[in-house]
Amino acid sequence: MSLQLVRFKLVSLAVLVLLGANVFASGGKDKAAKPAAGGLYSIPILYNGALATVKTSGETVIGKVIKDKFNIEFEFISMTADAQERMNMMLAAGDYPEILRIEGLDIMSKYIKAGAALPLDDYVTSSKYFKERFKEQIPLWKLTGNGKLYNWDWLEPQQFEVGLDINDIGVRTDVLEQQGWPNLLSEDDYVAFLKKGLADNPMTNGQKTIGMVVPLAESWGMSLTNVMIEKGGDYIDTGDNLSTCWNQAEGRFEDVFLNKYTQENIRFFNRLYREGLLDKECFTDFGTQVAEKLNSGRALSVFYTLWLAGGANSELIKSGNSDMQYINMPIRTNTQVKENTKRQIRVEITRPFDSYIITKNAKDPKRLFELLDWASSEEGQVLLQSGVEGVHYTIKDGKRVPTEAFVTGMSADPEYAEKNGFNIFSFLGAAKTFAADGQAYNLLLDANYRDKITLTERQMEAYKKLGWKNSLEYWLKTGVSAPVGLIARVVIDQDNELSMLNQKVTQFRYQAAATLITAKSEAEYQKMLAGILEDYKKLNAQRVVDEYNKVYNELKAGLKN
Amino acid sequence: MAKVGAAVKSRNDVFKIISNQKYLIVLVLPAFILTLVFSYIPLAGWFIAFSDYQLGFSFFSGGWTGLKQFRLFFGETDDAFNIIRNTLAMNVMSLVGGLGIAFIFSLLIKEVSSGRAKKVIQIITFFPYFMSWVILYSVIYSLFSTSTGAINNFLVDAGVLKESLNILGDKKYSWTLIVLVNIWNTLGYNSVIFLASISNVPTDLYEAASIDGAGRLQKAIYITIPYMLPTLLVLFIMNSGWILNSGLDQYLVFTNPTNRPTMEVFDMYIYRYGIKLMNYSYATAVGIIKSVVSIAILYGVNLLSKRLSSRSII
Repeated sequence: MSLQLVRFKLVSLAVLVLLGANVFASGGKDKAAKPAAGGLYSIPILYNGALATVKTSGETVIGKVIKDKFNIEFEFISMTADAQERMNMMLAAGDYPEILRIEGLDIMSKYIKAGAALPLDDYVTSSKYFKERFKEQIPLWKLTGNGKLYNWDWLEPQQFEVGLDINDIGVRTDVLEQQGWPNLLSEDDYVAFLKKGLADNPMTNGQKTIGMVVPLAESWGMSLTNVMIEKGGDYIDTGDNLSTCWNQAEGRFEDVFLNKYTQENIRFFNRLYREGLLDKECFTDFGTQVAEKLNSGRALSVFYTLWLAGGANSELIKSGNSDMQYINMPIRTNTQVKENTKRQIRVEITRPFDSYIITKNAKDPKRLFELLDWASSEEGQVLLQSGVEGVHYTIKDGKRVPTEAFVTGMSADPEYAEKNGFNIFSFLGAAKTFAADGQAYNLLLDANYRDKITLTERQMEAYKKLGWKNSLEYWLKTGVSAPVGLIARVVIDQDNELSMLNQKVTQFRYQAAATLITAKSEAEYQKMLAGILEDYKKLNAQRVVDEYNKVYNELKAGLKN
Repeated sequence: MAKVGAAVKSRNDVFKIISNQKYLIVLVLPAFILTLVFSYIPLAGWFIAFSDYQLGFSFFSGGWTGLKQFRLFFGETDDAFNIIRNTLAMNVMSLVGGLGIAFIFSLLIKEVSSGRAKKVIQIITFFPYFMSWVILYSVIYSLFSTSTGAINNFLVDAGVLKESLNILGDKKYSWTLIVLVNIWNTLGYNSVIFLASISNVPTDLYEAASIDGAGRLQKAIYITIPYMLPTLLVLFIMNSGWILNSGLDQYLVFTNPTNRPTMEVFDMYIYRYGIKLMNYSYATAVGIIKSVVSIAILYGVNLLSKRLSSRSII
């Protein structure tokens, strides 16, 4: 055989190997070696964002206790890309970590179908604490796995009274003070308040003041154009499902775009836009830009994204503008104010956008589950959420009392939580319920300590001036618990013919909302709305709504059986 | 027997040619392998446009779905029309504007007598080409954002505008914005190619023209431009093959909810439905449509060029 022919064959072989690797690669990397029985088990964890001071869990106070008890340590790997995108790519490449956070039922289904998620049923059967802690969740979780259990969720189970997490509108307190501490509630209240606020404060620290900011450019940004459906008494948002909402009163899914409160929500934004109160840059602003506008105090208010205002308050204190700090205040549409029904406040029985799985790449899933089982126990939850006795809390009359170091650290040191191991073990679960001592596991969510630890003096003063007993009083008085169980598990499978239509309906709604918000007059708004509704009819979105109701009824029947 | 003899002779001729040109073949081999591995082998992935591909499984494990994804693209909504319109409008304008302005710019640069000034101008115009789209967007944002944009603020302060223009958010500005940004971005790069063609003009032609009394403008019209035209044509034909390739990163940073209807191009759409919404089969089908249309445009432009100027690259 000539040398040239050999070379030709070698090149051909190389090309074939490359072709094969490209086309068939999906199995992922080989399983790493199982750690020696009882030996140190180091597990990489993808962490959304970056930890400033900690690389491994063993460096933290809480993590050290876990390491001493189980000889397991977690190595935190910063993840900055879009989480869902990364999950998809990891599955396509078969390269996923041992424990993985999953956002959404569609991705969960894909991991399950591809055999990337490990079934947990055998472990759960012999678990001491897990099956008891999650007894309400397990049957619902199993619906996604066709009868098998694959996941658990962060912040489950939940109780209405614990950790009420409401995002309405963040308002600058100095402007509230200027206007005599009004208790804002309706659209009209906010429009009048912001107009006067802008007239009284045209400039803030040398920059033009903005009425309201909202990061609509975020991938989830446009979903904020229908969040006010939840401020009334009938409807709740169902998390993952973006094209429909749940009618709590009548027990069925309805079209979210045609919902009257969604329409009022969009109209409210348009009203703000026309009055010059809504930041014109809201469509190009991401969270970072909104945070900058809040940090400098330029914005009189922020819609929904209250978590951005938390950091802003620290910045305002640092810059000597303490009186400008933001507080959370309620908002309802004018109709909702008139109707004055009790607000449906979601209590999530499952959180499909915040689930965890053990993947087939796990070196020792049994050991992992043993830790998870213990983390579900009373002892585990108290450690993970309240910390170590004597360091973070003491016991007085059978109740946990936070130590001074904990209170000071949590309220003044941004790195305290991380260094001590709070909020970094979300993959081990965190129950938002009362512990055996009658207090919330997380003392930051306990009514007796929440405001003291999490609010600044200025914020507490503001609520006092408004006549509130605490920062949650309004919502506790006017809201009722709306448990979201089965409805959060309803999803249109990607194999379903209507899956694409479902996505297009949502995209249509976002586009329509953006168009309507920027209408320059009432006449233009009405004209645009008429055209949009006409186009929407052509989409025949009702098919999607019907499918959701059909799937819901099937799941409901399956759950009964 | 004669046939076998001819075949052996033909094979020997091929080996002889290969042997004679082995160094040239070695030179071209890396490019050939790269093109094969990164451009042709991935075409096997087109299979998923015709099957029910599931993430985490082999490409060939899904059931055959035929042209379903193609029908979805053209049938269910106006997506196909909007995307083809946006992609063609912005890219054709960018291509024509970019090459046209670089063409004129090169002619003007040639006339600058100071070598130093020439270099400074070229460096300044070339610089944006090396900047990422994220940085470019930041620059544009700081100039044109409605509340803090330097140009917007200047125009409002000077009384030219009553209120800031929402250039980044308003869909009526999106095509103009993208075209101008593209021209700014590629001006330096394109002009270097034209300047290279200008440098090939024999200097004795200019000298002869000067003796005949030709001025700068006449020299440019009758000598420089005719020498630049073949380069312009080749660039035009080659770029027309990329006319549907918009560059994802640029559109990712410039697109927002208000300008999406006029900004969404093929690459963005494929990214959104493929990577974000996990419709890989659908996104691949749209990708195939894009490739087919690109090839058609390339051949069309090439044919047109052949007819009009007897010059072509294929």
